[in-house]
Amino acid sequence: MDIKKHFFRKFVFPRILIIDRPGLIVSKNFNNLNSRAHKMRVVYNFEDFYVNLYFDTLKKLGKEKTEKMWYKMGKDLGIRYFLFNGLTSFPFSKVTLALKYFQAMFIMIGMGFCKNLNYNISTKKYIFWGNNNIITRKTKNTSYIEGILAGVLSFITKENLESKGFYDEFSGEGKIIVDKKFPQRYSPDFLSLKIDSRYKFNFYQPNKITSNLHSFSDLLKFKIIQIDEGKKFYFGKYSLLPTEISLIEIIAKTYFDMGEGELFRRSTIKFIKNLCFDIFKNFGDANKKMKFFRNIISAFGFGEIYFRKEGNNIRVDFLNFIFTEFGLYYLKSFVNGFVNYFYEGEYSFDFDKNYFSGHKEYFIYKKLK
Amino acid sequence: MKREGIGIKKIDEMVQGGFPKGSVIGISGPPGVGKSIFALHFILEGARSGQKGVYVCLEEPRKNVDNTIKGFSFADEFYEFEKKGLIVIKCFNYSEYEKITLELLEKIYDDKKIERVVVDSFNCFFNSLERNSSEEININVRKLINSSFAYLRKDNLNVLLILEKHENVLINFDYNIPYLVDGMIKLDYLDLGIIERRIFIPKMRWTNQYKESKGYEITKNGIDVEE
Repeated sequence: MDIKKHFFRKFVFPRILIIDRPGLIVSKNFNNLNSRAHKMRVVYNFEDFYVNLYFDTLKKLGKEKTEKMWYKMGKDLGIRYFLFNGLTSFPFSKVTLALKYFQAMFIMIGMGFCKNLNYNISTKKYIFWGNNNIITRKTKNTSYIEGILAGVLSFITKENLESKGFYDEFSGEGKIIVDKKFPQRYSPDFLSLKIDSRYKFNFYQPNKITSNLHSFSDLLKFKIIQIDEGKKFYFGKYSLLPTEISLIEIIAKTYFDMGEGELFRRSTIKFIKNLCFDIFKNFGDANKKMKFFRNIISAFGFGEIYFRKEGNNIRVDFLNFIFTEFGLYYLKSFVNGFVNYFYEGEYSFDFDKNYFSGHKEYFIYKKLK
Repeated sequence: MKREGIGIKKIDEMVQGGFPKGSVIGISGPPGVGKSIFALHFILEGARSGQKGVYVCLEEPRKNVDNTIKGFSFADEFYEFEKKGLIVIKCFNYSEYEKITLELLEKIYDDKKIERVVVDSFNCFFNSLERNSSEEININVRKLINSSFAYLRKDNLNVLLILEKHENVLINFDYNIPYLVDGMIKLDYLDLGIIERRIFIPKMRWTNQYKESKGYEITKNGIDVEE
């Protein structure tokens, strides 16, 4: 299966994969509205990460706060995605085209609610419905997807639109309505979501591949990653979601900004530790575990990763390192989970400190106990 | 189209029951993926159906070939067929095979009883030439390959050529072999801490071959393909 076939070449923002090498996946969006192309750093992330985070948040903060938080994150994501295409506003004449594009793209990444769309451009009411929607199918909650669709349509229509979601647990059918008449819930700050010029650091490629790590295409070729009929990617029993890297870090930053950074960190670490226990249950050799993990992280686009023990601390180096305007809280927490598992202890990291050495970025994980 | 069984049931199923009768098939892959083991299955399966097969080994001395065969559960059966003359193993060293390439192939061509041939590896016939890349040498290699194919293509002769794929692409001269052969089997692996091996069949003339790849293991029974 050719991974490139999974990216769209039509519509307003045709999207193709231009780099797929160990540690680095980059796609390019062609914006037919301003005839410019924009590159995005893509990673593959576990759907269950979002699901676990949702349930951990629900447990600690309750339904109302959790839904508010996830709606906000979804809406920020919807806006941020548009900003990637170099747009600050959207011409009214292209609304239908844009809707078709986003509908197709969302279906591709597994947003089953977008399979059907009914809309009235003049009244600004849009109804999406379908089933088997990513994340919702497991959380039974629509707030994140509500936010995404409200964000996208707010950008397209130049008005802050809100949405409501309905989900039937038994049939798995869901409906999201975005409507101008809905009362205001959250107004995104466009400035805080804009693309920084340093984002280009994400595309740096060393002249040659020096590691023996593998690319996402390699894993597809060898069926380590599989694609189901619905075009969803699977790593064993775990489904994977392709996403622009900063869209995950927006989630992490939202938690930290709302004083729930530790909740985010602990939930991510717990998820990764459980994942490691599961995937490594038949691995006897510690070196093999390390090699496998490094390969997976690299192939998923998070950078070429190297672990080194320095006294009581663990230094983790990244080649093809990631830059986002929202920090690297997710990446640090994700790796923290593996460090805790592999080095059998409790480690933690400094949220604000990143170290650089040549073309490498590294984090230090300090042993707590 | 008549088919010739390979001796690995699940691979036979991937190519509608076996290789097309009278075809020349290439099998390629990096070191350690089981190309020679695949070839042993192929020769053994021919002997089981009464076909005489010749295994031409250009890289290893006979004792190394024996060490490989003895590692598998079919070893006794294999040697029984060798005693009966249905399997012939011919090992040549570098100084020998450089001189006898076409002579050897001519002998195989003339022996009407031979129905299966394995050349392990076919690259060895022009290994010494491929180190240089001058235009003249390139032409000579191509001529040698074309002449070899002229001998290998005859009715009832089923040929398996092992093609080495170097890790370093710069010295991986495959010339026009992938175009000349009737089918290509690719064995490959991925080292992720655990080794994942897969078989790919990118080309098989006159065959509606299996389009996906299949995983396999090398076990006591030889090549063991997953469902």
